[in-house]
Amino acid sequence: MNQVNEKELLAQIRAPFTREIGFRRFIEIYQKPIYQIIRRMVLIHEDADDLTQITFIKAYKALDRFEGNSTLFTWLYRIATNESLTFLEKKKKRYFFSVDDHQEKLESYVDSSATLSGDEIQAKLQKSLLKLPDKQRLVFHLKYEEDLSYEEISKITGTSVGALKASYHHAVKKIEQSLLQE
Amino acid sequence: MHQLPKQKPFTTPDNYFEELPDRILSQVKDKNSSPNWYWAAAAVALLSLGWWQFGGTNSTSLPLTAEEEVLLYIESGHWSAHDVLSLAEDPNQLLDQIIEEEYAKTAPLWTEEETWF
Repeated sequence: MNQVNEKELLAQIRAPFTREIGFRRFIEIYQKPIYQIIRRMVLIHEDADDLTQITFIKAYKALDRFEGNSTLFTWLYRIATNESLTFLEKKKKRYFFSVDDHQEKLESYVDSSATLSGDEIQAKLQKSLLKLPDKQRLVFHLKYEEDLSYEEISKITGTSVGALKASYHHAVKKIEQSLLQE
Repeated sequence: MHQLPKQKPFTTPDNYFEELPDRILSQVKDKNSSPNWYWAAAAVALLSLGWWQFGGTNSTSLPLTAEEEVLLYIESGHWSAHDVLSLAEDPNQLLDQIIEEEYAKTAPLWTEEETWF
């Protein structure tokens, strides 16, 4: 992904005659990591699918205003993570007409996935992660699973490196304790 | 820390990533003119209903606009938020809109002051 010539890709997207082909390339390059980080946060494929599409549509609308202060990858990650957090927040705030708790829905989704795949260790980890606040869970995913540096995460989240380090440290402790208790 | 297992990548339906670019591109073309008409339609439906239901009851007082009348019934407790939402064609969409608008105004997603732990 780092070998992508972003300037050339941006120029292709911004030129009227190559806009569509350039944007298609843009989607093809970034769709898998964007989908994975969203899916890690929302777990259910249908929700991740919706949010991945929304992320790219928002990016399309804003690409002309992209100033290049960060990499395209960081910028797109920022849109995707904001969309995921907004989605989760919305699920929590909605109490009218809701027949079930979203947290319970996610936990039962993890249980049913584990039954299908037979992977209990993954299910335990997933359940431990669900106990974390959403933003802390995001920091954990970006650092531990995606292997991004604190500096990159800082650009994505707009948060200081110090706060991220502390958040990640607490997340790891909580997960370890949660796994030990089971 | 090293004992924690890494998560496996999530699986997707067959051909998901082969088809996704086309699905996104078709929406980008459709959405070039995407007004907020769901919200407008819900508001109009709501106001019309209020006007129709209570329009004839205040013939001796100063005429109220439909919007004022709806607000009056809400503020006096005659209608609950639940009643109002029930009148909407798609209450969940209305809620999403309200939450999005209100939440965007008051709560930026990332702040240094918030509790991260």
